[in-house]
Amino acid sequence: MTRPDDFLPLSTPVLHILLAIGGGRLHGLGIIEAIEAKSEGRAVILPGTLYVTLNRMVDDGLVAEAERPEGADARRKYWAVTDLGRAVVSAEMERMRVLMEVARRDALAEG
Amino acid sequence: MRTFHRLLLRAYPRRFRELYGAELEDAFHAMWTSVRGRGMAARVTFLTRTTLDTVRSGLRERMSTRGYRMPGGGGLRRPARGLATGLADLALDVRHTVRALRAAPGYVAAVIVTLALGIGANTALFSTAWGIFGRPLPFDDGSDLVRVAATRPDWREGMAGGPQLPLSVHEIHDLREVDGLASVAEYHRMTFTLIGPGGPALVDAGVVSSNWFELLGMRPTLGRALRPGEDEVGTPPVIVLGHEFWMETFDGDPDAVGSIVRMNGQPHEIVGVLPPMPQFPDVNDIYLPISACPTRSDPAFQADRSARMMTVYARLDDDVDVDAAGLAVGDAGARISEAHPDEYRIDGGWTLGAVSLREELVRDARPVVWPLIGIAALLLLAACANAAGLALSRANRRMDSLRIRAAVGADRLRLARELMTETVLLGLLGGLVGLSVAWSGTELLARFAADFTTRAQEIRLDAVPLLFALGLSGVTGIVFGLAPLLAVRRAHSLGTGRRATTGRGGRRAQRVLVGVQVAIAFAVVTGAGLLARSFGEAATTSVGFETESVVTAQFLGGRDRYPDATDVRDLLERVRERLASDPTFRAVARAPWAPLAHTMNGRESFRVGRGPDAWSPAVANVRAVDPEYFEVLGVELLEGRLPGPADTLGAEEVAVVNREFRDRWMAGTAEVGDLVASCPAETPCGEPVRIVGVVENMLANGADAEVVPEIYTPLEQTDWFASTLLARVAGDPRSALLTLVETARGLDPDLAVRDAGTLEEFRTERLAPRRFVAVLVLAFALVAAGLAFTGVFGVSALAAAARRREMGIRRVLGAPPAAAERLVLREGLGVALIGCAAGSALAVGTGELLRGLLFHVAPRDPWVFGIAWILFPLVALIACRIPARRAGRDDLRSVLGSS
Repeated sequence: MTRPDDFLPLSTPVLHILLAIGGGRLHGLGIIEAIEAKSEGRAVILPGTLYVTLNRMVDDGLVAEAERPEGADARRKYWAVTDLGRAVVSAEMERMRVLMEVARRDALAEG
Repeated sequence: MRTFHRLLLRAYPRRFRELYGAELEDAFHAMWTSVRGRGMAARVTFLTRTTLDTVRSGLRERMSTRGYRMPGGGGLRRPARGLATGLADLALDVRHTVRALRAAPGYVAAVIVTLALGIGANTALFSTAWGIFGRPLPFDDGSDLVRVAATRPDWREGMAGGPQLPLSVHEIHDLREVDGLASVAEYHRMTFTLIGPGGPALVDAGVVSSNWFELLGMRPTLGRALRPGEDEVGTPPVIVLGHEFWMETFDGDPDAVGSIVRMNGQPHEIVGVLPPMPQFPDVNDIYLPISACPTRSDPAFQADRSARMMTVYARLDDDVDVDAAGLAVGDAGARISEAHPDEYRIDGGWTLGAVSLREELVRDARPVVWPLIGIAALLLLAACANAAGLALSRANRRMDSLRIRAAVGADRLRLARELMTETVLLGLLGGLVGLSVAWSGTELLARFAADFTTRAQEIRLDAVPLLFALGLSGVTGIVFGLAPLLAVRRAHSLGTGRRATTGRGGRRAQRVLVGVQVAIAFAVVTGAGLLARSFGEAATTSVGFETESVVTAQFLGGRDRYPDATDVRDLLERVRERLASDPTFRAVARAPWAPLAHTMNGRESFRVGRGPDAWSPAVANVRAVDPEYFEVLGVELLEGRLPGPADTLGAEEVAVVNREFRDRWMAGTAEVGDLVASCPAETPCGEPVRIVGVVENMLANGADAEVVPEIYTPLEQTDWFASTLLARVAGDPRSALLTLVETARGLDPDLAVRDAGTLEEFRTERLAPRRFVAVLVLAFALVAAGLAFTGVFGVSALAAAARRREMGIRRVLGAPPAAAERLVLREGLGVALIGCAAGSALAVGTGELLRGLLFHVAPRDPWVFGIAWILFPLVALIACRIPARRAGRDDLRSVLGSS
């Protein structure tokens, strides 16, 4: 049984993709746009990296193909975060929270 | 833009493209649309970034060992293997390998140096062989060119390679009518004095028909070649310069074309300069049309069917091959001799034949180059065995890591591929370093090969030899990479839990490899020994006359000032008179040529016996000599008398023969006092002359040349043109030579001098090719022996290491240290002796290979084999002794404590 901790730390593209899809379902181009929008333009993912990463995340069970919304382009695949994916994101957030606290305590970070 | 992107998508494995290709394309297109309106910079940035991103992630995907979901979900599929996948794998392997090799600089250096020597030597010899035998002839359609020549029964003896006799003017005209020959050109060589910008110079001139250059497809780089009709008597004399002569004498000045030089008392216009391409059949300074040669344009010469001086080349018709041309030319020869029965009365007949030009140009080089290639190939094999031994040791040292990887699932193929990548990479690096060896080696060999073929000028390290080096390096890497694969097999059987033998298998392989090296070294060393002994024999065998205290020089004036032989004779006689009062000069002789300095071949038919009723046939070289000749050279008189001052024109004509002539042609049929007559096959015999003496054989072409029957006739009784002086001197021969030349120049400052030196110098010069071959093979032998004995040392050391514990225990149980030593010695020496035995068999083969290069030494010379059998075990003993002593002296506590 794969445990969420096994995936940590997450690579930047994986984390961005999980956050971009969030609770909904998105197609590839939608993910690219969402990453750019949600990061306020600070993070950019290019299609090549996106699909290679997505492919791996499917293998790992972090995302899965989702049903296409009605009226959507038939060639597009839609993706949704799996339960494991959600667990992995929380684990990563928890890891970051601990790190954040450490940094704050040692006055390396503000906030 | 979509096409471009589709192309980019090829970076991904096919399976990936099937899954995501369409979407990737869409995403790319959508982004491109939004970027397009933002200006040039944005577009370029976008394209660059997406291209890099696609290629990088595509390659990463290819290298990933992860599988793909089968269509329809579930199950993993192995990544599809295609060329690109293979390349990506390879890139990864190479990266691993480079990293691993960086950690072992000693190993890398040893393997590269060993292979570089082997590959370098072979590449150099290959480029030599390619230049001589392989490269297409530089002439237009060179394979369509043949030499047409005649042969006679009495000439066949000792004449390898088909017809060689030159032809006469009439015969050339007859040949122009033969079907199958598209064009026929003639050539002969003359030496003239050319008075050019640098004063008088002796030049070698190719005298050719006007279609010569066209026949060969040679186009001058400057000016023009000869024009049709320019070879007819009465046209203004012109010359074409050879490239080198133009560079040397005219400093490569383009204005040389059109300028006038003097030759044979006439002004000649320079009309063209040849390109720097190989000349044949000789390398000449200049070329001129046959009309410019005084001899060739003499009407009497032209009328005489038996005045044969010209070499003839022909270009074949397109549909005719060399064999067919040979037949056609042979028929023509038969028709010619039938049509002129009086002029072709020959026992057995005068026949014509054709030889392919390519064959003709390389004939002499073949027996020298091929044996050298054989020896170099052996050397490479030894280098491979050595490198294989090193690679095997390395694999054995890494056995633990190989075993672990095998245990965690690395398949055998994967491990093998990794090791192979390493050896092939080393092979290629070895080849790269070997190129520097090959570069200088090729230059050296080209100079050496010039002694055997004019094609030597075409020896270069260019595309084909470089490709050969590349291929050879790869193959070498694979071959020596086979040995470490043994280690993989073992790692695998150990790693996967199956039982397998331990160190022993590896050591056996090592012993076999070292045995191979010893065997090859033995064979190459004996080969070098045979060649060295041959050189020694050639250098010390007497040529039958004095060489150290005899100096010689040839003097030539322009034909305008010395139109006939008597004038040169007068000049040389005056030189002789002047030198008579100089005590340094013991004796001075005049001769057409000096032995050793000039190659003297030429056989004629004779009849010898008491008289025309009791003739028996003979074939001999004939020489004209003056009375002092034998005195100068110190040749021993065996019977009768030498030619003397009384043997002049008008007195009875006499001759002296050499011992070979007496033994071969006079035994039981004739004796001193009998007659000999020149009987050129196609004309009646000449006036008989009386044999008055027999002298010792002289090897005028060097000690390693064939002993030829010879007849010497007094110069005064012939019309020979004798322009060479030979002098027996006391004291320093070089200063005497200077006096000789200065004396002649004092009488005529325009006299050109050539082939000046002591006979000993010419003798040494003739030995140069033999010495070169011996030194080259000796160098190969040293390398091979060095490799072999390092190998023997290595095997002994390995044996010592592997038995360290065993011997420790034995010693604890009371065995003396010497017993340990003996064990190691036995293993090392055993390998060496088996190698020597195998090497002896191989050496018999190498001896046969070298047979044509040996002189006075048998291919299985007992001395050479005997010395090798003493030296090899002795050196092997020394090589084993060091590890053996170390084994004997091992500190017992440390040995047993370490285990």
